[in-house]
Amino acid sequence: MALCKHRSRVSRDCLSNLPIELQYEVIRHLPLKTLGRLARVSQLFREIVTPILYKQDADEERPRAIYWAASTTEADDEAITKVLDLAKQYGGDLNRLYFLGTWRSPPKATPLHIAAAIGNMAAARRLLELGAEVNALGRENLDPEDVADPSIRHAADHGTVNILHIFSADPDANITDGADQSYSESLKELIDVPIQRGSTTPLFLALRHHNGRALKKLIVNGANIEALNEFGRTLLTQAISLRFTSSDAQARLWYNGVAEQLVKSRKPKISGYSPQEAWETPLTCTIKALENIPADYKRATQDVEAMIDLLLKHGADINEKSNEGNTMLHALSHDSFC
Amino acid sequence: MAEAKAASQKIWLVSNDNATMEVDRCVVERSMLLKNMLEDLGGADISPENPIPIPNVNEAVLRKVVEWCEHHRNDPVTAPDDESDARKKTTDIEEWDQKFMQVDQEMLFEIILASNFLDIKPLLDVGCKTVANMIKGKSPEEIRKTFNITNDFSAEEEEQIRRENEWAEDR
Repeated sequence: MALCKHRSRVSRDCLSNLPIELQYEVIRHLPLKTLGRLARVSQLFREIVTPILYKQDADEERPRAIYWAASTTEADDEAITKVLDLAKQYGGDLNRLYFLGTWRSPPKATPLHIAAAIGNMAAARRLLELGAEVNALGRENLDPEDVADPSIRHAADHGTVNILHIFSADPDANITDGADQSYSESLKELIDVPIQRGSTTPLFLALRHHNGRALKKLIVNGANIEALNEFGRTLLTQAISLRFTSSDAQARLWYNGVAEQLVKSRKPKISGYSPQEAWETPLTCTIKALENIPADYKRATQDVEAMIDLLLKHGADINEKSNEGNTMLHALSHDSFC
Repeated sequence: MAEAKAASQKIWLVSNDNATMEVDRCVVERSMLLKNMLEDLGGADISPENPIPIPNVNEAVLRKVVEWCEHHRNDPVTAPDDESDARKKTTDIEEWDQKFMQVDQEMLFEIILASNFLDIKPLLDVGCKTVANMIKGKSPEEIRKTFNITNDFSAEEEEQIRRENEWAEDR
């Protein structure tokens, strides 16, 4: 056969010139990783290999393309969108449940949960556009012992991660354009639903993603500002904590603003915690900022003093014992503040 | 016709560059194409003067193919769809076949084409697995080099598809 005639030369491109049915014979022996690379070799192989790559991935026990697109924090929006499109086109399941072990995401999550939890808006947006099921984590997908838990039952019945999580986690607050106006009003039953038992409610997502618009809407529409996250913190103590631990000055400013606003205009609980409630009080949370002696100690003590002043002015009890067992002075005597 | 007689019967093949070779019928029958042809003909008319022409295959390649068929003359004939999933993905090749496939790249591809034309599935499989093994574990650039493939992506396209296929890299 006259495929590779020029015997004098090392070789012509025999692989590209192989009849396509024989190229398939070769390609079907290749693992996913190799397929991904072969598709990068030339236009021809991109065309031949890409559908096989995605079909093979969709058949895997734990498909990776969609999971990657939902969970990446580094990829550009264009790549995320393209991967989701191709995955869907070649049989990928947008609503598949992934089992995770990280604190950031629920133990079981659909790609939409994952994208919402980490604020991956490009993925969340595209998943919705491609028809991903907003309420995919339904009761039938939960373990019996999980269903025994009332908060999970509630979540399962009402749809766990939902448009509110997604909206709240969007730093640009533009995911749903005009539509978001009505979400926190029309979906009030979802407003305090965490994406995981005892963890991140939409409020905490909005806080973490500096989404002031969502934060405001959620609070105005009745979100419970005393709800606890996975660290046993309320919105206020979480904001205070991040205000003193964030390494980014811009972010510290944002958290400080949230804490101030809350204290001044939303009457959050500042003292009188029962044992079931927050682990730390706003005061002990504040003083912790000085635990690991900050670099700019002088400024840090000023910031801490300002926060303490604010809290005391709004009813904080300087002698209150936190559920950790510390009063503020208690905590103080442990470090080198004095 | 009795089995034994059929097995010891001689068949003559002629390559497209006019080399005639004598092969046992049972060896020739590794090729489904020739097996069916012989059954149709009844085997009566084949002789050194009247060999079966193999129009697409030259002498060097035909000799390699016959060598493979000789070595595998007693292999059980595999069922046409012996394609369990476990088998499909492996690129394990038995030792003799590995050695047999240590030829230059052009010969390797000629063997693949010939085995496809002659319908010798197990040989086609060994050939394709050999090529698959040459692709495995290589970077795109190394694959291009190995097979002398021209990179026809623009720099932007190349970067774009690198990012798109990033997900296939982990694990």
